Amino acid sequence: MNWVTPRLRPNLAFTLTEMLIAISILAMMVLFTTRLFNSAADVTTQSTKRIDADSESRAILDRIAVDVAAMVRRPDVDYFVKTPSNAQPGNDQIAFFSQVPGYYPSSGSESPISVVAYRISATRLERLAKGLLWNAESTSGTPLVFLPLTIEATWPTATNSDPDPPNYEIFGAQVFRFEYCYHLADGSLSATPWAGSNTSVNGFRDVVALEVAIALIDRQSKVLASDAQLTALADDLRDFEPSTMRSGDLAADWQNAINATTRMPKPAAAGIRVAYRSFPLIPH
Amino acid sequence: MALVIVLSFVVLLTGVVLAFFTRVSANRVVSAGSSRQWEADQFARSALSVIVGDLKQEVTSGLPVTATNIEPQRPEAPASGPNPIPNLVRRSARSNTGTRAAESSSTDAAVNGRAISAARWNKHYLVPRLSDADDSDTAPDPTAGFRVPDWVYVTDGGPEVISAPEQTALARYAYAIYDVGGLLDANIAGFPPDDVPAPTFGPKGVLAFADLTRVQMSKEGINGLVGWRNRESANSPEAFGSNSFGSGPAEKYSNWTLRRADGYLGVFPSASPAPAPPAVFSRTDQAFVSRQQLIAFRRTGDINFSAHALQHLTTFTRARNRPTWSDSETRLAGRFSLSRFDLFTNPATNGTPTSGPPPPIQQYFGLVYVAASATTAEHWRYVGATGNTLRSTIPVLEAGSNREPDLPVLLAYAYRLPPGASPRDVLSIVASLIDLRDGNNDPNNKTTWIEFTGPDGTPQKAFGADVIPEPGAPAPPTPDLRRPFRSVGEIGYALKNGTTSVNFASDSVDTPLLDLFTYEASATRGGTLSLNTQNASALAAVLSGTSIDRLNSSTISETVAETAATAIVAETRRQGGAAVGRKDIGRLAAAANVGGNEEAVEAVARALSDIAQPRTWNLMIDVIAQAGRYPRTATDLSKFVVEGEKRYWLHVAIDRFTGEVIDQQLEPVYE
Repeated sequence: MNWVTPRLRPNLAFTLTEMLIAISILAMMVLFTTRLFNSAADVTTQSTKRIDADSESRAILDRIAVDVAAMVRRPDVDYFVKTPSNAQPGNDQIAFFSQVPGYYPSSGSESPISVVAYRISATRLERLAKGLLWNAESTSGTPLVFLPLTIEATWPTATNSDPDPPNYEIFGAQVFRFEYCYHLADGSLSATPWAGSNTSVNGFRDVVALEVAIALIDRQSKVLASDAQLTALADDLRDFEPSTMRSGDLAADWQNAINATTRMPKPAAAGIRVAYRSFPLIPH
Repeated sequence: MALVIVLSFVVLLTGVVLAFFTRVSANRVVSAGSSRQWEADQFARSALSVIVGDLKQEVTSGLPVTATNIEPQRPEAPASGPNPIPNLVRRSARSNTGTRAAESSSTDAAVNGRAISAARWNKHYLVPRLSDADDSDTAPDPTAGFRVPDWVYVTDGGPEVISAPEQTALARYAYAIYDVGGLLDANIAGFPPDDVPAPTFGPKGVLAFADLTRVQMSKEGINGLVGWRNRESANSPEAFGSNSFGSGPAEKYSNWTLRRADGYLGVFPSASPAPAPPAVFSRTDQAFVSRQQLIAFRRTGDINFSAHALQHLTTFTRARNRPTWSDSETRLAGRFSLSRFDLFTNPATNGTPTSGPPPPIQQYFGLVYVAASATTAEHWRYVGATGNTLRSTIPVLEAGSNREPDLPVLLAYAYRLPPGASPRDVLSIVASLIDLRDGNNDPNNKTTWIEFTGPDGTPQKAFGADVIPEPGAPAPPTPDLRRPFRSVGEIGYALKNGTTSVNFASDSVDTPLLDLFTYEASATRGGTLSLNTQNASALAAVLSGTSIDRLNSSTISETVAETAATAIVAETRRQGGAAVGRKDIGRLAAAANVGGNEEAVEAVARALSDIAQPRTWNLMIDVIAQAGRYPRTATDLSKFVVEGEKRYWLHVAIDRFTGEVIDQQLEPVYE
């Protein structure tokens, strides 16, 4: 009788326990990685929203800085600004002459001066830059004019709230609130661009800086809020109060109102940013 | 499979993180760029504060004001001979102590290649150009003698001189200061040369009648400039770029120019005196609101306006309308306005006392009117600014500040009349000035006389000089002006005691009067020209075409004007020759040597007396600031990393006597 030594066969299969352990570990890794991914996505999304909003506010404020720095400052030119007789409750509007390029008529010799205006229309910031021709270049194109001719009388588009797409460009599609005040030479903030016994703008002789605050919502968050909700929130963001506010208080006040608002979903409100900057009007 | 899923998630996560950080990095660069630009802007403004502060320090440390220190220091101007860069005051340079500049030229390239070329430095065209001889070349490249400014480095301790790269360096700036007060204000200067007659522009008195052909502008270019600037006040029908003007609009332009009472700082119609502008109008006159606008105007090509002319033109002039001449104890509130003599066109109304306050003639001249009667001719009584008692002496001007004396007191002050002296000589000058002005309303052209008392109380008379003399009056002189005064220099036509003319043709005892009167009465004004200008062409433009006599029979020719201007510049540039006040115009008139009799020589005084002023520094500061840093490996001052740049032109007017900054205008320059 021939005996056959049984060969040991290799064990190629996992045991059930090994399988269970491995699957558990892998499941935990997937779960952990998924959570990590979700967290990273949340962080990057929030940060991207903030970057979007900051980028837009920076571009807007940089442009305003250029326009204000090049503003024609003379006692005999007009400015459409906030004054006691033109208090501009809610969103403010401003118009002035500036030595910046603008949108010129299709023909004619172009002067380096434009009428520049900023306003909020339909929950977005609009900018008008109407390039002016040289005097007597055209019978229809009005050049730079001095007092007693006013911007309001000569270019009503720059000072009214009528929708006027051909003259205005959408400058801040996410901006829904625009407010400014004056930093006077005596160090105080005011809603009146003159001080003491003066009664007119007079080339901003009494003003050392223009302080501007804007509130804007990033693109992704804007999808979650309607224009009506943004308008309602804009109404909740107070005007500058000269008797109680100091520099920076307006931005803080707005932020508190935004944090407490119930007019829109929280994720939308979380995407609203407030930007505040001071633009010097004195030479140095 | 699960491992594949995990790995996929890891890859996705890595991708998301990478994309996020890429976005963040890009945004950080943009944000940093924006903030650096903002920093450069702040450094530029701070640099301007430092520079203006240095100028004000120069004013306060240079008291009292003398002929050797009335002008800002020009360390690089040649000690003698013509100045090749007449508009340059100084630049930031290592060789100019006090500027804090390092041995680092702004033309040296930085680490990232940024450099400021000489052509960029002359973007304003205030430095004579290399191609000034070529009419077709409009490039701003400056003359070879121009040296560009050096950098001033700003560390955490402020601007300081460094000799090697400092890690604490935050920014750097370079600057050049130009005397624009010695140039012609393009907002006022110029008139259509073929359409304004000599009797209109000859008496001068206002910068509008400066002959711009002397600063290399063509007649067409002048017509285009004035046509654009004063189209509404001239009621001109011409379009932009037209080469013609017309006699009708020229007359309107001249009339409005002579009637202005806004210090030449306003624009028609807001600056229009009576009669009022039309109720309905759609445009106004124009003004250059910046030098860049002036340069752009020339560049349009529609106006035949040579680039050569830009070095002689400015858009900013300011001055306080206050005299500089005075004794050491008294300061006048302002100058005596020549327009007050217009009151004598209606003597009875303006000179007869009533029960109320003194009439205006008594207030300004100390005289009350006496109508002709059976026993006495029409005349004036000298009673002083208040009261009705005939006076025998002229009160002494009280010491102190902000005094506004009547004319006899002012003249006695100017001539340093001893207390108690007879007022005859002074009152004769007053009477002579009245006769010069009242001609067109005095059909009989009778000599004016003023009654006063002698020390013993006996009535005395001081006579003027007119065509028909009064008994006892000197022989009649040449005809009077028959019009309002056009310049303070026309006081030179007045006579003392009917015989001796007031002399503005040399440095005489009469020349202080040039500083104490004014044609334009505004407290602050524009349209001035520095009496110490080193720009001879600008001066020649003011002199050219000035009438040499009251009949406008002849004018100062272009050639004589240029020679005279060169002589005046040479006189003010010599050691101790600078003008300290308008009083020095007499000396400069003699130096100008235009030839002819005293009246002809005084044409220089008639041209300059209301335009020229020495007390205000009208300067343009051209500053370029760069924010940045030195890398750790930097071994040379030029190896600066530029991260933001800003350029400004600051026009500033500083009163040399008080240090007051009268006005300033800031232009951001975008390149």
